[in-house]
Amino acid sequence: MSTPCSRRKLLKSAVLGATFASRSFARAQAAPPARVAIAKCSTYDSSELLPVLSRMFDQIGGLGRLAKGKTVAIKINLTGQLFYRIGYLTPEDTCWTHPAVIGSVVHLMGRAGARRIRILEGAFSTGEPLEEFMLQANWEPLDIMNAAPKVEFENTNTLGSGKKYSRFAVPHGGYIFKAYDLNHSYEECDVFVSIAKLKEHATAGITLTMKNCFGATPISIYGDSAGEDEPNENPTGGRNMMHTGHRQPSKCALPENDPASPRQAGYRIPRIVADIVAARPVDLAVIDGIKSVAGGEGAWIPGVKPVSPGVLIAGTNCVSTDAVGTAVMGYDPMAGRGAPPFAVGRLSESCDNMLQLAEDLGVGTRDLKRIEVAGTPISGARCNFAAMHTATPAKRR
Amino acid sequence: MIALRWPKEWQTAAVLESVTSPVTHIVVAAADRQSAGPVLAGADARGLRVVDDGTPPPGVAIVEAGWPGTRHFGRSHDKPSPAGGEHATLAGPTGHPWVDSIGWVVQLARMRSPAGAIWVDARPEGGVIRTEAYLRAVADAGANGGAWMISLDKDLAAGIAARKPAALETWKKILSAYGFFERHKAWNGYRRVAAFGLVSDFSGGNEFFAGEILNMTTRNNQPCLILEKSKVDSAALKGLRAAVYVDEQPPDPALRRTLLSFADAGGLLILGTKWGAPEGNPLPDTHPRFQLRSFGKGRLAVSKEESPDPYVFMKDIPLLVSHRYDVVRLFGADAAILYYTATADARRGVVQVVSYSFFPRNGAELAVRVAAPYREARMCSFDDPEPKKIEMLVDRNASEAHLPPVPVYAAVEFVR
Repeated sequence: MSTPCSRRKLLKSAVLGATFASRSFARAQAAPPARVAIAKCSTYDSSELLPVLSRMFDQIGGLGRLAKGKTVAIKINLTGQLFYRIGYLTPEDTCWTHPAVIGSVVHLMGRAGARRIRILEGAFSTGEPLEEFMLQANWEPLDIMNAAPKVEFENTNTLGSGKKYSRFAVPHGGYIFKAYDLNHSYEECDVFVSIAKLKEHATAGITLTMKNCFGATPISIYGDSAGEDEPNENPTGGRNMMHTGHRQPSKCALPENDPASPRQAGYRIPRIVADIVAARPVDLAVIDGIKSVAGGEGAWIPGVKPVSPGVLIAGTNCVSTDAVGTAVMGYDPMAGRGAPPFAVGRLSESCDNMLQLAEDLGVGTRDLKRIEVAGTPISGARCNFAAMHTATPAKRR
Repeated sequence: MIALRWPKEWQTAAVLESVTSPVTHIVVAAADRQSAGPVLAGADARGLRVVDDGTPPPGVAIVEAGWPGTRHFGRSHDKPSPAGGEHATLAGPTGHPWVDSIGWVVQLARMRSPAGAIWVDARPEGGVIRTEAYLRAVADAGANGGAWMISLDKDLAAGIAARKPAALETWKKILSAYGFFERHKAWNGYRRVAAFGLVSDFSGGNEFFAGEILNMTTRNNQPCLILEKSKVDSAALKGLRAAVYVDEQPPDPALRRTLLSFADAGGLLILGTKWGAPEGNPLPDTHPRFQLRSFGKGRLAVSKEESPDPYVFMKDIPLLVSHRYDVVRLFGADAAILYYTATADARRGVVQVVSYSFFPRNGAELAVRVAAPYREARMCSFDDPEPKKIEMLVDRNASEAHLPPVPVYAAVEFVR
């Protein structure tokens, strides 16, 4: 039975909404501007990749000031089942962060004096060691491990080598959750790096360095096989709970702020992403756009096409870096729900703009007029992802 | 030898005109002998031998198995299907389906009767049985050196009896698939390639757990050598990275010595709690489910749990060994099982792929990677039985062959 809404209630909610909007606007206006570097890079060959990345990091202030003597955590993106491929192309040539980019960043961090570097990912549907997941995808983890001194791996789907989960409170109370319980590695680092792929997302519009952090949530707590009360330290499955809200996380973590809020992935995912990057700020955001896919985030999305934008993007603010990435993909980072890439998605629904939601939390600005771009201008790097959905697939090797 | 289970829909000897040659045997349950009378009466005249399903001919073992295929269930938050069991919850929108295979049943039967023929009694289940489902049954048994005992569902049996063209076409394809394996029977002499082996007597109280390990390692494309414990010697363990012993009884002294000498030489022993007091020196307690110990150049991993979950145990095996030593990997397939065998000199290898996808993803090309540097890869299938060279990449001492989508079955021959 519905409850009639009185005029007084309506006025109260309107006033509250207006207050929230005005606070969000104020936070958005106060969101820090940042510099973002763009560079063209056509291959993963270290002779090209390493100097390009090194120059880009210098353009955004240098890694030394960020990493010297510090513990660095690097969240990479290995989305989906490891056996999925688009044609015969390996996932790193389509939808995963390429190991050469990871290895190069690790190497440059080591060269800048990082004390310890930990590679993090919540590999799909498993709590097994991250190195073992990589090996099954034909990766050689030693290549990354040997790129700098003291490099470690952690699958953040579980406790891993930690004793307890770390709770990260979202400033201003959070959109979906007040706080998120994450693997200890996200707390035990001085510098947090998100390395993502330049991709669209079938449900969230874009998946760049911010959306990459969605995968930081442990499936032991926020996954489909999460324990009812306590984390399931031997978890399987994905994060449908986060997409659809069909269940709550393990009771050891905080429940949703409002279980009556929309159970729609296009509403939930952008908010959860904004929550996470506000709760666990990203210190360095790197987007691998040398090779990628257009039309979605992985091989399971019908119609995705391999593409070769030949571009790298890096910045110290994840919202600004992703705004530039969005623009490089040919989209307007200021677009609202219903406009590309946040329009009717390839999986049938539209979504909210995660850049806007994070900006409203004061994480960073998405306004290109407030972002200084170093290196290649956006216009020189732009590739029209929307047009590439229907383009001829790239030649298979 | 090809055996056919008498279908109730066949009531006259005339139907045999459609099915004789190369079928050699008609199998009938004792209780059905009377009903099958008219058909059986005509069998002799056509050179068909009639056998009771409980009394196979000399040199033949009949093993029962479930109908091979995928089990359908919903998204991971749906209730698990009874067929899928609790692990049906594994699958989600980007999860992989549950596959019921008969390959491991054939492998176990061949271990028990190495010289004999294996007939697999797997009867069609479910509603409409498509031609591909029959071919899958032939392939799953044939790829492992067995022969599926033809069991027709009522629609196909009635269709053949009525000489309907579509039914006869399906029948022709089934027989053609048998012909494929007959032409490649040399593959049955190849040895199975695996990184680890399971040592057990596979009987009594040990049958369930050992069977689960074989079943699930097969589904996960983690080849597991079947090692009957009374026959295990150092030669049987040669080339393996690990041996698993989880029987409910401690090994006899001779087997214990053999397994320990395998570990001493650098192998890994993965043991259940019934092994008894473990040898070697404890290593730091880093594993949630296994106590690790050093022994000579190798290691022992002793389960901490008296009754471990077979699924979790199975997943732990290749992790304890390390996926670095995977002998074969498959990419691009949601639901396919690989069977990898090679000649003793390793100059030739064969990876047989049985696909269980009812609706393969669009353009689901497959890639098969074997941990050996081959020079060339050739592929053949039921539809295209002549081997044809396919693209192959060699990287880090491994060979990756690129296959087109495989609707039911393909074999890739690797040559050095």
